[in-house]
Amino acid sequence: MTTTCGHCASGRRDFIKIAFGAGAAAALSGRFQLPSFAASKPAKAKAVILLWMQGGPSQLDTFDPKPGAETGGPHKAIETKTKGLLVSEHLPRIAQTSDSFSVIRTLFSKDPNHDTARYLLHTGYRTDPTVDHPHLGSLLAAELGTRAEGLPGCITLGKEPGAGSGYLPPELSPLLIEKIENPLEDLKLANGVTSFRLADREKLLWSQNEGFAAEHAETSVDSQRKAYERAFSLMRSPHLKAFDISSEKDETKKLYGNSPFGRACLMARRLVEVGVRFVEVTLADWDTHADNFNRTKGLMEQLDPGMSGLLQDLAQRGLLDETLVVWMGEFGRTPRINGGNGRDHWTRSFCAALAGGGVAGGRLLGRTNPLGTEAQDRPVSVQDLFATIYGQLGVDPAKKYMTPSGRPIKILEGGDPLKELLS
Amino acid sequence: MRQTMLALFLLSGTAAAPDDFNPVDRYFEAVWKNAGISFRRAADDYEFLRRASLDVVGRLPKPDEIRAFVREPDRDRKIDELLASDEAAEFFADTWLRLLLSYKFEETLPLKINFPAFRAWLKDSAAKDLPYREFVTQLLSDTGDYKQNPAANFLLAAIDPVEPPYEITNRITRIFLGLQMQCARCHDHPFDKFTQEDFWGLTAFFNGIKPKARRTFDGFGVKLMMEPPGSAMRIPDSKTEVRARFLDGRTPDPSQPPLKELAAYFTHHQQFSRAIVNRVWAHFMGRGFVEPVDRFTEKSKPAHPELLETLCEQFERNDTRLRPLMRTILTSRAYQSSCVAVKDAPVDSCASMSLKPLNPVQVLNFLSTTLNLEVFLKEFYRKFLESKDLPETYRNPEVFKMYLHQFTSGLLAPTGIAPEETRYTGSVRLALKLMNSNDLQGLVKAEWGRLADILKKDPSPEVRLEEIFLTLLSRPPKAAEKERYLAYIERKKGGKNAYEDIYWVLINSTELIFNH
Repeated sequence: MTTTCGHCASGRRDFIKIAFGAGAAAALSGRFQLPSFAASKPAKAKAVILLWMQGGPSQLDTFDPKPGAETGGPHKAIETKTKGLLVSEHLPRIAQTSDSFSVIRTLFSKDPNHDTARYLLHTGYRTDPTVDHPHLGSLLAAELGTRAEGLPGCITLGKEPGAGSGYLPPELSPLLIEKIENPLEDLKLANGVTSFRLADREKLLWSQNEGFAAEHAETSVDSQRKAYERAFSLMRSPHLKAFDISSEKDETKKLYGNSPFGRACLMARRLVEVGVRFVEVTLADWDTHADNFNRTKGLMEQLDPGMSGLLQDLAQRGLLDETLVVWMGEFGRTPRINGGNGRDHWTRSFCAALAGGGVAGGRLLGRTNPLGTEAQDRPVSVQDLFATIYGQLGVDPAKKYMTPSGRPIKILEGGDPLKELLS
Repeated sequence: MRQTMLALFLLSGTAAAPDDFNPVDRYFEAVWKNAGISFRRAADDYEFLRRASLDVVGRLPKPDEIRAFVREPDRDRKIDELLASDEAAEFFADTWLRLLLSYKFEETLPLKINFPAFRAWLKDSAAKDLPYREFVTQLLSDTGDYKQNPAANFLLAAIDPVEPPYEITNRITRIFLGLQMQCARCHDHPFDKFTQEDFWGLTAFFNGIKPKARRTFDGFGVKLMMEPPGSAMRIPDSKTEVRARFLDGRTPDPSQPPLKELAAYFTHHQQFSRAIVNRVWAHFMGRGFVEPVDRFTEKSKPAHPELLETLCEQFERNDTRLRPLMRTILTSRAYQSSCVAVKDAPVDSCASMSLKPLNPVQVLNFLSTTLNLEVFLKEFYRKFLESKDLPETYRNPEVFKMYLHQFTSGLLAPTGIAPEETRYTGSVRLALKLMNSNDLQGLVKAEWGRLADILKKDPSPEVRLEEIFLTLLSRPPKAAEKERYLAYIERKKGGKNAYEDIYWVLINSTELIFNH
């Protein structure tokens, strides 16, 4: 187990590189990729769908139940297709599809705060005042490019993303689609504006901006222009219909369940189909300090059809082999049940699940003790999880990028792929 | 050679500076001369008024204000008017609210702190130009009821129900001393001198700090308590015990209240004035002497260190009041330079003004003034106040405003971290919202909207065009612009659509999103 402190991970060692390489680094002055000598392995996956459980999902009430134990709570546990894996009774369909995914039960971190833990689980790094790290999806978009004309490589559905483009160029920022029920809200022309009228407006806008740009040749002015160019190309993307789930067959829609989360999962499949590299779907409200059991039941009623439907649908379309699906949140919850029938933040052992993209189904990694208070074997770090994800997409985590301040930084510091889960 | 000349120049003090008493002018006259910059453009009256309004009161000037000012362009008087205005205190309160809460609005905050009382205290401090030393002393050491001692809300906001109070240490060192200590929470700082024990020695001052909810005669209240005060604490995951101690290793006088001791230490620390002078300078000039503004390190080399020290001395002579410091900067020729880059001038020379992207508070204000957003929001606000789903402590204008600022910072940056903390990189989300949102387009078209007012007032396309330009860009159109837009209006037969299109163009223009 390594003991790097994430937010200073590149501390002393990189200090030497900075000291000796700084001149050269400064001269390059942009964000340049440094050559990497580690041979990258061929990719198994082409895209990632992250099912993000905002708030910190309770492991004991989902994928690591402790039926009968004093920490177990009232939800019953049911058998799955995976030997040794029990899940909550409120995940019946997930139990039936368990041969398509693997579960990690001993993921750990040291960060019990929502914001910083969310950043950690989206970037592989702890927050660091001296550098902004990119969102996992932005990094994949940078490494693998985008395949869907006009659409960005990284799209988040429903909630603001856990990180931005960091040290990467702004065009790799995650695009937020705020409303699942009205995804094109700000992408469609406003009422009463025809495409002819938009063309008039656009022409006037570029002329207007030209005058200002001529006098103010600063990078932020250029960034602003590029943001508008991206906005226009997004509005005109031939793939916008990927956001429209109404054209799906009723039976497909039914597969995902009747909830915003289910609909977002279906939208994610459509986006991956047209070539988007990374889609994040959020199921929020897992921060169950009070009334944990009623609330987790309600959340699982959305999660169960949404996640199992997504896995089934991807498999039926032959997309599961090239799409890595990741289920996780910022941490888990205390085995101890508090006075308000809730569970608090817990970072010592929590769950994540991986499916598709070359990850084997039906396997289990790590085990916790009967009360769920200790990991009994195979602790898995956040970096290990990220190394696995990068590995499956053929991205070399040791590759370095140059930050705007001229500091070389690895895609990921530390971490080993979880070989036991790879098929 | 050059350096000797510069030294002589500074010593002689006989520069042909327009205002010998302005240390910024005196300093930069020498810098410009030394760098061989002979020609600089000054901001014209329109540019100046827009810039100073955005910087001091956080909004665009209104067309009537613009016309009155250009008729009688007394800049010094305008600066004094703006600084003393109620709106300046409002803008200060909005800006500092976000800064003191670490630029984020957690949804549970209205349950933890008293927003109305805290914001009113911030506003009042600005209105009476409370010495900054006193301001910080109260923030660091006020305890007790969060309504009667509103400064206590600052510490309350940073307390976590489970974690030891290290977030307070992160915030107070960053905000008040410009030092980043968070790395030292887990290990000795790799680049700086701070050790893990330094970090926890400061944190120990707050050991035992806790909020205590209680019933009061008018309902519900929270009290900030110290139980037990300032005892020794253990560094998490270690066996080391630390007692409250200052960064220089000294320990506080045990006969005094620990937070008072800490406040006295902070407000007399050598970084105390530097950090705030740097922050204020960066606010007005678009770039701090040290960048990022709250990251001074052992090795940081401020741009213009002499000027930084001069301004710090002046700040302390003025009893650490912010208004004289702002006035010095605002009245300087460096501040009043044009934004058009001077050829071959070094970036740091302040020979031209930097472009500053609007922050979330300014974006909300620009939407308010150019689109009559308030009318639109009234209905939301009413619903918000009457909402039965929200606890009582949410239903006040201060919390509503924080939600709106949260919304605009989300528009400016994908993660909701706005440009004042990071470099501005353009925002697709803001662009899409401004271009296509039916709500905003509805405001452009509304009967009671700003544009409808303009069209009602005068039928002449020229007058209308000028009014639209003054409203959005705070200047009249240039000749080429006039020609282009008048031709457009004519081509569209003078219809309302043509004016809506022009309004749309200017709202989406690059010029609008920057303070220049």
